[in-house]
Amino acid sequence: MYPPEVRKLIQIVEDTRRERARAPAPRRLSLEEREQLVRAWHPDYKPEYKRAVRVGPCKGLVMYSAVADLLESWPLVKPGELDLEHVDYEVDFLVVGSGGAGLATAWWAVKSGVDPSSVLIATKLRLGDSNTVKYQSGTQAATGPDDSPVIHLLDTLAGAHFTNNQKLVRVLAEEAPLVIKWLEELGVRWSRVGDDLERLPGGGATRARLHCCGDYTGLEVMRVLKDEIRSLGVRVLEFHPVIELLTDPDTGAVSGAVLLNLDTGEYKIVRSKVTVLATGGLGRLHIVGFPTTNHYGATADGLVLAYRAGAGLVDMDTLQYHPTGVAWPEAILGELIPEKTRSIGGQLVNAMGQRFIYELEPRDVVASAIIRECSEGRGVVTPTGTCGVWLDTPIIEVVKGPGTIKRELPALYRMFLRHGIDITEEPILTYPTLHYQNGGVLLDEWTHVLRPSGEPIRGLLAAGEVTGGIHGKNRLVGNSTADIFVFGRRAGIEASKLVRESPKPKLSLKHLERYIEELKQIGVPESRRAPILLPDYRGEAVLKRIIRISFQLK
Amino acid sequence: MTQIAPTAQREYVTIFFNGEAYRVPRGLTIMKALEYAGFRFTRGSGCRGGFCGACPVIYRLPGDYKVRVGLACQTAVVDNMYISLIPYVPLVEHVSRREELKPDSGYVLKLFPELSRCVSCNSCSKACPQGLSPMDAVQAILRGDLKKAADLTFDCIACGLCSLRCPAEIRHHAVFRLVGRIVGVYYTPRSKSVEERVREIESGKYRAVFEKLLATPVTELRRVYEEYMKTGRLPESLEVR
Amino acid sequence: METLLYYPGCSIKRDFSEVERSSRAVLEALGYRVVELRDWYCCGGFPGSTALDHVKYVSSLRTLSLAQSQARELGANTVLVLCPFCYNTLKQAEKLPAERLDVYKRVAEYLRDELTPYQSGLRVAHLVEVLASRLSDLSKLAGGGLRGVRVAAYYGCMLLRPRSVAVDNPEDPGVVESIVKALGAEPVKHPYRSYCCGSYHAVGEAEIVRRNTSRVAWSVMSSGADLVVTPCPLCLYNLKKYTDLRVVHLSELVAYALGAREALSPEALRVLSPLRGEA
Repeated sequence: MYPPEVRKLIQIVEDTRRERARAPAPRRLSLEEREQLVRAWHPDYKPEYKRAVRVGPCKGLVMYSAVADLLESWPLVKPGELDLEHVDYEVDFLVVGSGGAGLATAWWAVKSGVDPSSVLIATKLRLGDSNTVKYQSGTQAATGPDDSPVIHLLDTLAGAHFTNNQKLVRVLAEEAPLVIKWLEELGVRWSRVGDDLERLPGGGATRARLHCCGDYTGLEVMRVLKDEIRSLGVRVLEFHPVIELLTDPDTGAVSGAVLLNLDTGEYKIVRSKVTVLATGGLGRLHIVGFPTTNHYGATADGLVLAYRAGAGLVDMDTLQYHPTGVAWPEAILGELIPEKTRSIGGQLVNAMGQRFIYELEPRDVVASAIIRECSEGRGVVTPTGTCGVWLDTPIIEVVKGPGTIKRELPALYRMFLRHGIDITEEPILTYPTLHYQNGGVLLDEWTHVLRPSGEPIRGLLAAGEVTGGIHGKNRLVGNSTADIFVFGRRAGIEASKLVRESPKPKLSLKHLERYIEELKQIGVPESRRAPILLPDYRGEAVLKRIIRISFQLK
Repeated sequence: MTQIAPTAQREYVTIFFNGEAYRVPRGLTIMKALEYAGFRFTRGSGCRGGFCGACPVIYRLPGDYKVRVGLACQTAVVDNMYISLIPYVPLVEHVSRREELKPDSGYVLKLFPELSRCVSCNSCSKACPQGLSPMDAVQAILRGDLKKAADLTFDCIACGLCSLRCPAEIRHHAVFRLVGRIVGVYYTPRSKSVEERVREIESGKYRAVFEKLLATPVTELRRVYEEYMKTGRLPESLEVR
Repeated sequence: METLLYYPGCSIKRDFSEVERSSRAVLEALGYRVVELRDWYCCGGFPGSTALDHVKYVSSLRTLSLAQSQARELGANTVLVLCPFCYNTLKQAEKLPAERLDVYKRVAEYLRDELTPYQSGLRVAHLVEVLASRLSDLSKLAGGGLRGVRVAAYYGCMLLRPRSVAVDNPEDPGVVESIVKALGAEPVKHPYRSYCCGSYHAVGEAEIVRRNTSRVAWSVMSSGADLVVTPCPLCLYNLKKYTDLRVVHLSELVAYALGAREALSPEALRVLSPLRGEA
């Protein structure tokens, strides 16, 4: 229920609705205007949020301070502390993470010839718990007759202000239609229109090429992939995050990992010929105090692990803030209001009842515009003190007919209804929310993780949000899920080749020795540790009085 | 971390978790309220957005015998709710390989014979946090209409609450997942335009233009794109033949 | 044109769709509009006819409650049922408020969470009753092709027991014979025409079905009938599987007589076409 003071503010949205339904949309910005807006308002351009990291292979690289803090942290285990002689799992292929990228990798590895009983998926929560399961806006792929992968590539480059690794974008654009077909064959029920797949428009895409499964795209795709993985006989360890990679002391290749059983606190040792990091993003770090759309486990674990093993990082001075996160009610603060809300006609309206940006500009542009409105006094202050602008949803019913929202956005409708707000009748309050890690570990076209010099780290692959270069400094809607499946597929195929070529490696934590030296040199206290595995939301009052009786997660 | 610090102006409510009372701020979800009270989830927290079914809850309100259900990440706390979290519902289901699937309700009934025990009591629908009707889906399967069952359960997040309440002990979301796959594999036509595009890509139709683009300096690419945004057309040199 | 609200039931939809086809063809030829119920639930037939007194009515009462709103929209009040088990359960549900008020109250109270429980206003009718109310029209529409063909009726149990829902006298039923006569054929009564065929014991204790159907077969053959006709798909199934009798569903015979051959399955045509009526 909106409290009465908010109901008063809705009046102006209602009064201006008819006019706004008739009037043309705000003019699209030129490439230069986009850049000016973003530079003026986007958190990426605030130097006070950044600093240079002081340890590791990219020492001196400027990135978000919160990420630098994480990289400048002690490992959870030190060399010599663990018994590496007793190996719990001897496998060919270790997959870290079980979102879209992890499951795609495991599937394609088996399809390419790796014995399923020699593939181990180690995942922090349940199989499939990830950001992927929440995705609603669809997957970009140039499958339409009037579209082409070339245009997809150009849109992707332009959306990132041409900062992407173009070779990787070419792979993305060219192979996205392949993964749509692959998923269709597995039985994913893509939304259809007549005889063909439905393709929706999205921000920054000049052709309609978003493929959805109703409003539960991620859920449907993950259901099918989980089923496939379970039926293939791949081994799965749930609630077993990787807390450290293991490396061969002679060659420096990644040779396995240390897993932590989250229920009992035991560690397990895995030896694997090939390891792929599919660990996802970092939303739960709440960088710069933003709420997030991400799932519970998005804590940048893979980034930390890869960095310690020698990986280069790229574009960690940028983050994607999804323009429309929930600003109120507090219960669902930061949750995603999908881009589809805007592409089917929802309008962004400031406190004076005016539209202030074309709703389908790329995400960094729209987010910057909303931040500008709020910072310049044209935002709405919510009852909890946060600021936001209106997203006029009832106008969708006016323009496209009653019943459109329930049909096209059932998940969003449900989410708000649970808190007493009927979005077919009342607009919603929105503000940007931390959504996606644009950058990440340095990658080549066959998913090898690279050192800053460009040399691949043997035995280590990566796919999905943890990787960088594909999306440059701003990702387009629908490209993340194209990324996870395209590169997940490549990682699986590549893994099968590497497994055949690789001998059984030795295990050590040698790669931590130099890292720990650097931490000591800059005086990082041992109490600061990473990966953090899960965020800590316990109330301040409680945290002040906790006695840690042993090092336990709880 | 964004935390909710106790302040003087906030209103508080009392919730009971496992029978124990806790004062928590009004306006939080059950999940955030329990975290505020000092609990840290390992199990029972997933996407935190209502999509993954990791956090089902059952609760009662005082003076009312009715069992209520919800998702911990989506349900706001109410004064005096008595809460129990259910991080796992055992279903022990068979997972079919794609080749084994059959477009036949008899196949589904063979794997899940308890379906025919459905007495149409509707307890399942009353327990669904998504507002779906699992009973209607079970009935549709019993009369051979797999497509209808799949459509009715598309939005199912597999939380397991319906199965917990079912007197016939039906394993709903395992059934629905199976039916969804059968329908996806057998009853959903393949898109010809996708096949066509994949054929083109695999034949290397776009290779030449991509190579040209990747060799083009960024300043030139920007100019090309600006032009494309105005005219909707790419220069001839970049057209795909 | 009278509208009939059609309750299909699980068996008809899953295993006996040809009965639905022929019944629809016959009813449409008689001028009815047959509209399938928007919301219907398994009547719970088998468990319902044994124990579980209250639970078995939940589903049927829910179906009737939801049927009521559709009935109002269409200006109809008859719920047509093809399967005798479904007919039996739904008819009992229809009569609950009048005949077993204590049971009705409990079931209605349980349903009140979801909807307004049915109380009165609908009439559950089996196909046999609808046809029996239109005998003169059936005579007019039937060609002479069945003249002299001797047809035995086999009723089974569920249309005749218990008394409160019976469509006819269980000891001496004659309604199917009257329909056969109206079609121009010669009905032949025989003693075991309402003797149980063994019903769902076909799954589990087939011996019972074997024994019972053989008695029915003996009774029919002693009567000299050319054809057996039954209003129950399960009886039809049992008789076909365990005896040599030539048997079709009642709706198939009527469709045949009315010239609606396209509504008949190849199997029904195989049984019916060799029969030649006298000129």
